[in-house]
Amino acid sequence: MNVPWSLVVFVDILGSVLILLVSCWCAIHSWQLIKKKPDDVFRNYIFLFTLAILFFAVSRSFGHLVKQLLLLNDMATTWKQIAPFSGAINSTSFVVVFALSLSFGRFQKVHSEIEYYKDNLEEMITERTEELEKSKNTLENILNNSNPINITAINFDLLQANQAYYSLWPRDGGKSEVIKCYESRPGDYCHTNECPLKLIVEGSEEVVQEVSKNLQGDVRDFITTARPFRDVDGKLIGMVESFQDITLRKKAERALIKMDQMKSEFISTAAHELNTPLSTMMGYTEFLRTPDEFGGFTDKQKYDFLNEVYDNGEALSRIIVDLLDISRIESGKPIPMVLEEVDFMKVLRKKVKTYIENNSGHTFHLDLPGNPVQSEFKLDRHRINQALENLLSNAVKYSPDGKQIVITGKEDKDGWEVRIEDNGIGMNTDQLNRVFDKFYRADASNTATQGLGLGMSIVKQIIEAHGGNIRVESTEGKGTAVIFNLPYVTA
Amino acid sequence: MLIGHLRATSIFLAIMLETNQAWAVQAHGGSEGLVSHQIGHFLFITGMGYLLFRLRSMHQKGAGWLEFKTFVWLLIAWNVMTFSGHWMNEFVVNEKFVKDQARTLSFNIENLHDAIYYLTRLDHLILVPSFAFLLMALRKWRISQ
Repeated sequence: MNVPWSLVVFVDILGSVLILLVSCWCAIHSWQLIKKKPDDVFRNYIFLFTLAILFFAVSRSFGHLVKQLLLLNDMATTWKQIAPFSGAINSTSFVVVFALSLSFGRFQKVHSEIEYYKDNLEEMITERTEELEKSKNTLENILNNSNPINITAINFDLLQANQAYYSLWPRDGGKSEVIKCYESRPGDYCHTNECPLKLIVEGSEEVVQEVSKNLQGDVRDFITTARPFRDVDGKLIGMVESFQDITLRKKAERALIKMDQMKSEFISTAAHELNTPLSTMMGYTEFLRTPDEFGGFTDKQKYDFLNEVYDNGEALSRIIVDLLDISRIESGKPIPMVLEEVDFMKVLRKKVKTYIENNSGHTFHLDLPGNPVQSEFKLDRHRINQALENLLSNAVKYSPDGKQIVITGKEDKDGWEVRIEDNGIGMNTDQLNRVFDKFYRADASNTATQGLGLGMSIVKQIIEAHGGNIRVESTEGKGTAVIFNLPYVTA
Repeated sequence: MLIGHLRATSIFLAIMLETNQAWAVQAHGGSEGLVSHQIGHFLFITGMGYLLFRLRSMHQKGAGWLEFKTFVWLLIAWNVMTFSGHWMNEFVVNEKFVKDQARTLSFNIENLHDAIYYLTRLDHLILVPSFAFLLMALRKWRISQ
């Protein structure tokens, strides 16, 4: 069957013309589309895609029109020469369309993202701002609740500091006023070769120093750690310095050193205190063991020697009892108490009487109520005697011979108050503050008054164990008064 | 497997390169080469296929998109048609064309192959509607957006 080839030629020519017209029209439409919103990514893509299609349409239509015109004019040879160029241009347009088609997904994705961001920009900014604000607050919180920290510029300007820093070294001027670090927190290292900023500038990566700062009269100890502060390019622009307050630690260290000294003193004193009565006892025992070597002794002398041995033994026993009591107190155990109905005025009178009889060097004045309402109440007789013994012996020890010791006892509705007052050497404020400390002796020198420094501490424990309280009043050079209360404890 | 692929490729290239120079109808021979042009068509089809795939996966709806999809489908059809036409052109002998000197007057259809070849020469019947759909899509976008 023969079909006319003219139909092919007609369709080719008409089709090419129509394609040229429609593609140009498409280009106009896409141009108008992009003009409405020039920054719209997707419209830009459609425009580019239409251009690629236009390129394809024009190259193809021209090729076909030229071909048909040449063939109609019997110029097949010319077409043979032109055809490869026309075809190549046409093939190139295919590749361009292919490339643009592949990038459709990416354009569409970018477009969608931009549209999403456009629609939600305000909300996103609000959310992000809130997040940033939250993060900023958290950081500020951490910063302000940490150790004092500051940033100091190379020119010594205090750039920034946290609240902890300003609470120690307040800003005198306004917030905007720039001050130097040595004005903000003057210290021993300022303007010396030990200045941490100077050391950082010289290349140190970390400068750790121990410093004491006087803060409105309160001396505080710090460990300062300074490190380089650099900008984003790594250039050194200053230092970051943090302060760790070690005042309590230093105090504890100092107390520990003092305790160590006191321990050494105590060992020395205890050895001396134990040795003195022991030597005396050994001396008298030696007399009694070999009397012939000393020309013999009368019975009275022997009796006196034995009394001396007994008295010194008693003194030794007291020291050991004190040590045992302190040991109990130290280990947190209470002093064992045996409470019984005791006539306190009688006990007090008897104890003072013993002193009056045995201490001829001092005068004692005992002032008690003539007709007490209640003198009998629950007490540990032994412990009260121990307390009175310690207080009276202290009054005797710390006041010169001939001075009067006044013991006053008075009762009220709650109990008894006893005041033992000497006219001795007295104590200064520091000694007074530490009078109840264990092992503390106001004068720890070799020539000082004998004692282990436990008496007052034990007395306090005894009085408090009875529910009472004790205090000391003293004036240096004038004398000391110890006042204690004993409440009524009834069955 | 590799040998199988190489053999198939060799046969394809042999057919492509063994051309019957019918210059009256052939547009893509000579220094351009039919193979490179056919690769162009293949890329065109691939590009359009990918575009359709993206449009489907994005569930692109709204004014103009149906027209745009139709445009793409028609372009694929046109590419398949012309790809086939170019290929068949290689096997069409000059005797099929009834000529008056150099000018072709008619084409002798003797079998299905000849008929299909003749139809592929009328590819504008697909290409023009395809462009019309693109125009419609652009118009709708322009109006709606």
